[in-house]
Amino acid sequence: MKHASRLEGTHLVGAPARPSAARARRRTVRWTVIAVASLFVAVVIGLFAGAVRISPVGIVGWMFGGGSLTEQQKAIVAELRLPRVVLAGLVGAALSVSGCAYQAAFRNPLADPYLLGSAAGAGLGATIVIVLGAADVPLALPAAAFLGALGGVGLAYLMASTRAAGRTSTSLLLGGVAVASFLTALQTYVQQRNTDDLRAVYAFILGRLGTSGWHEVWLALPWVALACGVLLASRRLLEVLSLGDLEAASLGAHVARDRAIVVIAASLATAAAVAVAGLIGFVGLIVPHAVRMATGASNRLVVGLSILFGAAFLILCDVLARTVVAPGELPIGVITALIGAPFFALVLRRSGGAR
Amino acid sequence: MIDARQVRVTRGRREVVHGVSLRVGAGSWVSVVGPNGAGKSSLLLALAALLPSQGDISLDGRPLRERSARERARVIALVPQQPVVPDALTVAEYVLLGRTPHLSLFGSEAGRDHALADTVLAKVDLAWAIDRLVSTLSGGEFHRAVVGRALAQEARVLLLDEPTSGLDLGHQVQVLDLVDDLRRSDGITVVAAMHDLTLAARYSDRVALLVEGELVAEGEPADVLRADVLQRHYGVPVHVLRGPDGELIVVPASTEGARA
Repeated sequence: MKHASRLEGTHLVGAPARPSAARARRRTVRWTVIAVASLFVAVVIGLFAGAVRISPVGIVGWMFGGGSLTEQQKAIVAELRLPRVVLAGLVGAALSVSGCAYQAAFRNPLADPYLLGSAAGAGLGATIVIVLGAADVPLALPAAAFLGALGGVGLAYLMASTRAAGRTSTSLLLGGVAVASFLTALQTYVQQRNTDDLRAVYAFILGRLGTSGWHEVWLALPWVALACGVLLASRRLLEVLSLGDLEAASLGAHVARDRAIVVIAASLATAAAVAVAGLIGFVGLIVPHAVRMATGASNRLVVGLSILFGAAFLILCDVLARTVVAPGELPIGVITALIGAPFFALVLRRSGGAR
Repeated sequence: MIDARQVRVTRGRREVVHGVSLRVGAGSWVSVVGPNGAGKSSLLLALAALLPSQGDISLDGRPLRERSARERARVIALVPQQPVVPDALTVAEYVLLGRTPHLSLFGSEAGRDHALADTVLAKVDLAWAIDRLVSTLSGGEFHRAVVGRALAQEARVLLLDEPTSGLDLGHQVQVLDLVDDLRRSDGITVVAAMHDLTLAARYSDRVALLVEGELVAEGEPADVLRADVLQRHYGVPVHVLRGPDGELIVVPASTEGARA
């Protein structure tokens, strides 16, 4: 006990704030301002882009409750473009923050939100609904994708917990790989048995925001908000988990429980995103890494910035998806993959060199 | 005071520590030595309840298993053999992770935690590196940061798992001197798994020799680190010499005669 009193005896409560703490705060404020500004610009571009020309100045004015938009322009912005922009933002935020959480919790720079079989589960759920002809039944497709995604992660957990090693990050990863392969095989089988529905199935797999409206926004919002809240609160926990199971446990962390909290929150966000937008790849991989590279910061800052930059990124990708071949539209997953694949190679190269 | 009785540790299907009993007095330094695969690290991790074990381990008379993980981490800190080097944490953030057992699940550090981290950083002579990324520190500096993180736990027992592996001689002594100074000034109890017998003799009050999971000798360094004992268990002839200040020096003897 002697040492504890000695440490306490010398502690500096009430001393002036450390310069390093002030610098860290300044960095947090600076990057948060940049991220919010980027999101704002992305939203304005998202509302501006479209077949009907509307002045960006008018859009900004409308956003702040004034402006010079006609009633028709207001209707286009509020009812057609805004829900799509908001949905893209929600999905981008959900996938980015989930990717960030997975990368920290599994200490794997190549982890993405689909790591534990959520994509394969969602794909299987959606494919089953489509081939049953129930895709037009309200809520059927998002519910099947949502439950499929969570089911995939649940199966991975189940498989990991049957190993003698317990729920270590390695056994969970292996479980995820096995579950993803199994569910993908099932999905491919169901799809090949029903080739008439190939187009609809691929539309889901490549991701889409084209049919979105406020309905999808309200479906996804509660889950994404809940998950973002939990993951923001878990920023410090992610740093502890990123030290590996042994060191985290030596610091008093309940590793299996703490990782489960992170994985459940990230999986809920991913499932909600997949349910309303299909499988959009690479967002969860490239945004957190880009934020890490740009800021050089730890998860304490990267989690929050991933939410903001992830939203901005997907809004801009959606703008590209609906303008590059206008009046046609590219699947948004194609855009994110075109940007993401080269980036993925870069991360692979860097992480390979580091280890 | 740590009191370990009949501790057994099984890894996979193999029992690697067979009924070891060890008492470590408060404020003392006990080094666990032994050949590779003797079970030193396993015993150390069991003492921190980081590996499941059988037998009884108590700290100040209270069984370890009665304490929660957080409670244990407030009294026992581990300096692992090969600590993970995080990519983007500053030295200050890294040391602050030692406050984990004192915070709630979603809690974050308050002023007292930052002040304590400052004190610790000064103790481990890293106050100048507060904003440096941990990944840019040298081997010796990083080991000092790991010790700093352990000190930030405010634990009264420090478990060192081969704390000098991968360090050059200068950094080995630097890290061990630091721990020894802290032990003397702050009354911390140290249990260290060590390979270097000369360093073990230099810093320890007592030495425990572990061979194939069994405690074969335990006592003051001069009683345990004897040429005949070491030769028997390490399988090579050794000389145990006395330095100018009477300190023990353990060196391997020439094996040419034996080979001939």
